[in-house]
Amino acid sequence: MTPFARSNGGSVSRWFWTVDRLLLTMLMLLIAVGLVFVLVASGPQAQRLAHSRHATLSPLHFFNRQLVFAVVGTLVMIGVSFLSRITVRRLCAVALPIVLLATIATLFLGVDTKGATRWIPVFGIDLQPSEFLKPCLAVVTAWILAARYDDPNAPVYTVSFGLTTIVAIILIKQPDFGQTALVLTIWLAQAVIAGLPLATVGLAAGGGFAGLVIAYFTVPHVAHRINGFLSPSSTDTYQVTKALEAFRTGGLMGVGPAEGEVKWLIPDAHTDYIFAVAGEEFGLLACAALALLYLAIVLRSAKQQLDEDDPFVFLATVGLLVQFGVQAFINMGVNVALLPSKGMTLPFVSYGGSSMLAMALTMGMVLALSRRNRFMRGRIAGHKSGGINAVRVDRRSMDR
Amino acid sequence: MSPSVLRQLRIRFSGQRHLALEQGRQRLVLFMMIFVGIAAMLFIKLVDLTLIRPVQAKSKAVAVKRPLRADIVDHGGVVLATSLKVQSLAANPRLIKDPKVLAQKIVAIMPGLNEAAVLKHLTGGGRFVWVKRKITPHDVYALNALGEPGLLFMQEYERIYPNAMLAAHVLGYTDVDGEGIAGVEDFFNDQLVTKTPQPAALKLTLDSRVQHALEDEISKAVDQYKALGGFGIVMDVNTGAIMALASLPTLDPNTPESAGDQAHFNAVTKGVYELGSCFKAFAVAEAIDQGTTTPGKRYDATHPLHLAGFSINDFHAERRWMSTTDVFIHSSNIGTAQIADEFGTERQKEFLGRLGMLKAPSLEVAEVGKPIIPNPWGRLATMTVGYGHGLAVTPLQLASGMASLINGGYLVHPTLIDKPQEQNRERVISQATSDTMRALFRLAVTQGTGSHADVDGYRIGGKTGTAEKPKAGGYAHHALISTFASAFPMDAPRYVVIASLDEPQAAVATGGLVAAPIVHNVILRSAPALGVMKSTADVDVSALMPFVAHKKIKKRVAA
Repeated sequence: MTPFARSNGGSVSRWFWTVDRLLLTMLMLLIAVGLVFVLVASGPQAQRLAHSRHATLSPLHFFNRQLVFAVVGTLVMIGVSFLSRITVRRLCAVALPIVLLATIATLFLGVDTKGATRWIPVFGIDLQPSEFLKPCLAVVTAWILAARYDDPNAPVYTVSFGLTTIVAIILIKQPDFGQTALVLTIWLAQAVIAGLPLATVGLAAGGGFAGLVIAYFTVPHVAHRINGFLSPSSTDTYQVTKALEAFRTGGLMGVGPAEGEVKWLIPDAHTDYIFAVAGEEFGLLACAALALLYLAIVLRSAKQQLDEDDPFVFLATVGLLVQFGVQAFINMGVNVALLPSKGMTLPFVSYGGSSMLAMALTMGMVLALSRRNRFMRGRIAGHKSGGINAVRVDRRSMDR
Repeated sequence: MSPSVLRQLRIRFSGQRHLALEQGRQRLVLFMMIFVGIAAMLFIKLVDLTLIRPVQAKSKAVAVKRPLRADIVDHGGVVLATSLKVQSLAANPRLIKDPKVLAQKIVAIMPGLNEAAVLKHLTGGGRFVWVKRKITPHDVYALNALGEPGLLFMQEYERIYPNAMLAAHVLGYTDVDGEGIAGVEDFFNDQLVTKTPQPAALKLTLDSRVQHALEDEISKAVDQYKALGGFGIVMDVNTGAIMALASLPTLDPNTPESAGDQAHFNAVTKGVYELGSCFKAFAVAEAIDQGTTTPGKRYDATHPLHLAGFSINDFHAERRWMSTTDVFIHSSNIGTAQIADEFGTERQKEFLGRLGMLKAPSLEVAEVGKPIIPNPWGRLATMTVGYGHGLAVTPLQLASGMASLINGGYLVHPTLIDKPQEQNRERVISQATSDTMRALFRLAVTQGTGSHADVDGYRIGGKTGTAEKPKAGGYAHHALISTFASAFPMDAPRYVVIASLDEPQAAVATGGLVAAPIVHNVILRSAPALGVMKSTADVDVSALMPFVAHKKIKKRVAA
C-alpha cells in the first residue's frame, strides 16, 4: 500500500488529499525566497551587532537563526493544518486570553527596543505576543460574527468590536499603531463580509474621520500623535530615502546578490526594509514576482472560500487572509514610500522568530480551514455546522 | 416548540443564511478586486522607481581612472618619462571581517608596510581607502590569493623616469595621482594628460648624452670641491634650444618625496644670483656697441675706486692702466666700473631690459625666478652692476644673454621645445660688436682668466665669474658662486656652455679654477654629440692683440 494512496484511511493520507496543496506549495516557496533575502540582507546587521558588543559574530548569525525559525515555522504550519476547524476555533478561544495577558505583560516587563515595548523574553528568544494576538483574535471574532448567520438578532458586531477595541487599546499602549490599524482593519473586513451595512461603514468612517479632525484641532495631545503618525521621524525618513534609492539602483535586474549597498546604510534592512534590499540586489523582476506571490496566495485562498458554506470558516479565513495580505502590502507599500513608515514585517520573509511563528500559525490555520475533498466543489456532505443539521450539496449543482 | 415550527424556522434560517453567505461572497470578490488594485499600485510604483527613474549603481569602489600621460622624449627620441600600468591596493573596510588578521597577512606579503598604519586604514570609515599605491605584480598575486572580498585592486598608471636622475629638474615629476607638479610635467600637464590610447610623445630639445656629460662633470666637481651644489646649462646660441640643464643637488623623480628641500630647487631657472664677472661681458658689449669705449681705450686701474663710502677693488689687481681688452680678459672691476659709469645708468637699464635681464625668464618649466633689481639704481649701482654685483638674475638669463652677444647680436629666447628659428629676430647689438665680443671671449681663455677651459681645436671662448654671496649687511668673502660662462666654437658659435659651483671649498676657488675645468670636460665629452668638429681655424683676434699688455705665447695657468 502506497503511503499517500487515496484509499489510505490514515490521518496523513487524509490530510494530503484534503489540504490545499497549491497554497501549501506557494507558502513553502515564499519561505524559501525569504531565506535567500535574509541571507543577503542580514550580514551587515550581524556586523553592526558584533561591533556594538565588541565581539565577533558570524555574518550568517541572523541567517542561521532564521533557518531554524523557518524549519520550526514550516513544521508548525503543517502541524496546525492537520487540525480540524473545531479544534482551530477552540485553540484560538483558549489562546486569545493568554496572548492578551502576555501582551499586557509586555507593557510592564517587556524588552524596550527602539522606543517600543513589544517583546518578552521566552526561552532566550524575545517573543512579540502581539504577533500571535492577531490570528487568535481574527478566529475568535469570526466565531462571534458567524453567530449572526444562525440568529440575525445576536449583537455580534457590538461584541466582536468590543473585543477588538480592547486589543486595539492594548496595542496603542505599546505603542504599536501599525498593529492597531491592522487589527481594526481585520475586524472591519470580517464585519463587512458578515453583512455590516455599507452605509454604516461609510457613516462610521466619516464620523471617525470627522472626530479625528475635531480632535486634531482641539486636543494638542492628539494633534501631536497624528502629526507623528503622518510625518515619520527623521530616522524613518532616512530609511525611506535610502530604500527608494535602492529600488532605483536595482533597476530591472538588480545589482546582483550581496552586491547591494542599502543594507549597509539602514538598520532595519533585514526586517522592515528587506523588500528594498531585494529590490536593489534582484531588481524589479524579483520584487514583482514576490508581490505576485503574495497576491496569488491571497487570491487563491479567497477563491477557495467562495465555495465555502460554513460562515465561521468563511469569516475566519477572510480575517486571516486580510491579516496576511494587508501586512504584506503595507510593508511593501512602506518600502516604496506609498505609505508612511509603520514598523510592519513582510510575512515569512522578514527576519524574526515571532513573525515567522505567528505567520506559520496564521497560514497553518488557513490551510486547516480550507481542507476539504478536493474533488467536490462544496462542503463535505453531512458535515455538522453552526448547530443546524442540514445536508448541504454543492451550491452550483443546486443552482443548476 | 413543536417539531413543525422548528422545521419552519430551520427552512427560514436556511434561506437567510444562504442570502447572507451570498452577500458575503459578493463582498469578498470586491475585496479581492481591491487587493488586485492595491497590488497594481505597488507595481506601478515599482516600475516607476526601477525603470522610469533609475539611478546608476555607484561602482563598488570609487572609480579611479587615472589618465594616461604621454611620454616625454629627448630630441633624439630617448624616453625620459613614460607611464606604466600598475595595480594599487585599496580596501572596503565594511566588507572586512577581521581587520587585525588581514593587516598581519598584508604586512607579511609587503614587509615594508607598517602594520598599525595598515590596520588603521582597514578599520577606517567609508567604503574606500587606499592601503598601498602602486604595488608589484608579485604582491598583487599574493594579496589576491588571500581571497579577501574587502580588498580591491585598482588599475593606475605609474610615471616612470627610466634614466632616474637624468634631467630631473627639467622633467619635474607627478604626484601620486599622476598630476604634474614640477618642471615640464607641470608646465605641460594639460597637454600630457590625454584620452587617446597612444598619445604622441612630448619632444624636448634636450640631448640626453650632453645632459649626462653636464650632470656628471658638475657632480664630480661638487664632490671634489665639497660644494653645496652646482648648476650648468648648454644652449644653442641661435635658437635658444636647451640641450642640457643641470642643477645639483638633484633628485630621482621616481621618488621625489625622498629628496631633501634643496634637491627640489632648480637653481638654473628658479635661483637668482649675482653672477659676478661674467656680467662684465654685458658692460663691455654695450659700451662698445654704443661707442662709449673701444677695445683699445685705456682706464686707470692703479688704485681702487672710491665712491659714496664704498671702495671698488680688483681681485687680480694689476695696478696699472689697462685697455678695455685687458680689463675684460683680466676681469678688472675698477676698469669695468669706469666703462659702466661712462655708459650711464639709463642706457644700462635699457640695454639689460632689452636682454630680458630685468624680468623673470620664460621657459617651459613651472619654476622660474624673478631677478632682484638694484634699488636705488644710481651711479654706484650702475658701476657694481657693470661687474656683476647688485643685480641678481637666473643662470638661464646669463646663458641667453651670452648667446645674444655672440650669435651676431640677436635676442635669444630660451626654450625646451623644438621651434623653427624666428624669422625677424630682434637685434640687441650690432654684428661688428658681436664679432668683437667673440674675440674678447676667446682672448679671455687664451690670454686671461679662462685658460683652464681651453680644449685644443674646439675654439672655446668664455668669461670667468667669482661672486661673493650676499649675506646680511654685506658680502660673505668665502661663500662664493664660481662660474664659467663660455661658448664654442668661437669662430662660428654654436653652443653656450655655463657651469657654476655654489660655495666650492678651496684655497683659491675662482670660476677660472673650479668652473672652467667643468666646461672643458663637458665640451670635450659632448662636442661630438653636438656635431662640432675640431678645427685648426680660429677666431681672428689680431685686431685686439695690440691692446693685450702681457701676451702669453703658450697658454699657462692663470687664475
